Amino acid sequence: MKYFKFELKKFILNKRNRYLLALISSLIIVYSVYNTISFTNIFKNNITSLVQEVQTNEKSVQDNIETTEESLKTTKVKAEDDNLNNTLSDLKQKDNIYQKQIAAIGVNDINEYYHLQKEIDQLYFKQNGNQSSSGQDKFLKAEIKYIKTVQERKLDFEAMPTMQSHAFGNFHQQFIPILTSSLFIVLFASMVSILVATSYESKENRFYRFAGIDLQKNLIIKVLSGTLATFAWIIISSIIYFLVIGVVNGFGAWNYPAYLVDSDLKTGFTLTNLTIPNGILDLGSILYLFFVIFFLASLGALISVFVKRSMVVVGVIALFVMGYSMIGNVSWIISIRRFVPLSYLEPLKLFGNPSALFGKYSILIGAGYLLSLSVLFLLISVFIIKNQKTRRIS
Amino acid sequence: MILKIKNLKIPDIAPLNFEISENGLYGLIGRNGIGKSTLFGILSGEIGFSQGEIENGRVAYLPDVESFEESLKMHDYFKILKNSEQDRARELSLTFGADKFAKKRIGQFSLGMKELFATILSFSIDCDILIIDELFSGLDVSKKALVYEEVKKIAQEKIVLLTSHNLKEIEHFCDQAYLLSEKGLTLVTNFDEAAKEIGYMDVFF
Repeated sequence: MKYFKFELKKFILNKRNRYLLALISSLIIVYSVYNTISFTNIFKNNITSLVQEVQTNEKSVQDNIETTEESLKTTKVKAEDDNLNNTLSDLKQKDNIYQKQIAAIGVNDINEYYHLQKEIDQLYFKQNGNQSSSGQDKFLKAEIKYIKTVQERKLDFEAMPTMQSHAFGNFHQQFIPILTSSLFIVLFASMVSILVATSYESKENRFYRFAGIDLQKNLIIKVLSGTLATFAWIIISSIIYFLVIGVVNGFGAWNYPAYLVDSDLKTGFTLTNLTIPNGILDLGSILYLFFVIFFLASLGALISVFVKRSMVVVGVIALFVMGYSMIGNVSWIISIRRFVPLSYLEPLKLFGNPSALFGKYSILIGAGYLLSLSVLFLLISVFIIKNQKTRRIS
Repeated sequence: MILKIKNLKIPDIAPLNFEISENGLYGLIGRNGIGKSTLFGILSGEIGFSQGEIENGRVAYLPDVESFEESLKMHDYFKILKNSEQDRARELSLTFGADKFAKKRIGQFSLGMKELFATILSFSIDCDILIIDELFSGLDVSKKALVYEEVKKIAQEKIVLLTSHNLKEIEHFCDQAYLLSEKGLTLVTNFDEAAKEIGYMDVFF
């Protein structure tokens, strides 16, 4: 425990880490402030765009009503007449709902708006049948499911499910993507992946050898202390972000549906896990980051025992992360990406049950895969450092 | 404790055969680059070798005073030592007056402070053989006197190998001194001849 405390203190007080944490914290503060300020405008724009969307739909329905009424005047066939009358009745019903929606938005009654939206969606299936599997049908079914979920959970609707303003939703829609962006992954790697390499550069292993401290044990402690310190920072900054957004926009509900999608070049944009509660997604994503940080730290340790240079370690990891984000959608990579560890660095994608990976098991398999690889990397590093000499003479 | 080196091959030096069977303070001299630090590295297990045999106990060798984390303090390092070593380190820091800079971060230490800190650590470590490689060169005279007084006490309990470019110190304080040269390791019986051999000029005395 005393070695762990020592390494933890060393990691936290290290000048480079302090600068990096200050840089990351500044980025997050700037982003939070920007996000908080701009969200009021975004919310206004959301409402405006909702009104515009409904008005456009209503205009289109009114045009259809006029066309149908004119057709009715000219038609002579009885069957066609009945058909047109049915269509006219449906269109008038739709128009009525749209008008109510505009009125609901006018008084900021978002719950009523979505209640009416469900009626419109259900009307569509009543008119067109329930058998089609077109993209629009899938979307409308998902939308009905989302609306029903919010109503069943007795919650107030967000104006836009994909742009939730309250803290629980905003956290995973705005903050987690930042933490798991390539830039932040590389910044985290700059702290945790080079721990072993810097011990070669600063020759501190010589001190450990002198003090009779086991180098293998020390390597594991270094990786764990760096991982835990970085993870603790992630938790603290997450809490701060959550509180700031919560105080400004409201906290929202833990069990509000997250409206999570699986966005993939091959399969397109699918609403795969829209009912998962925001709270579980927030917490799950943050906890998953522990595995990501541990993976980066142990991968760094493995590279370090070979190259012994921190800049090379950061360079290699940055190349992996940035390179994979660029070529991840190349056809031959797509076919093997479920085996590539870098596919499992973004918890939000994994919670979206991506069909390109392991569907609803992706998050569990991802955590298990990263953890197994981390342990393997550590074991190899420990084995190498055990048999390593500063140099050999012959 | 015994230190026994048999037929150890270091580049450009004849195979080393060397044995110390009694505790004491032993000086090791030799010109720059001859291989003193390499020999110490081999003894501490830091450097691998392919020819020869070494018989020794636990060797403590701190080759570099720049390997400490600059953001930490002296006591942070003391805390990771064994309890008995910690007590000794605290005691020695009082003896050497190092407690005065205990609140400073190591990054703020002068070379002399770093050397004194490394000396305290070296004297505190439980080991059978202690190697002191040019550790006292930055210490002022008053501190040096205290340090040599202490090292003499330690040398009664373990084998202490000391190297310094100041031959006068080696001659004055060590029980025996050895010269490392191309011919191997030889016992120094005449310091003037050894000084000539390594090109030592006592210009400052």
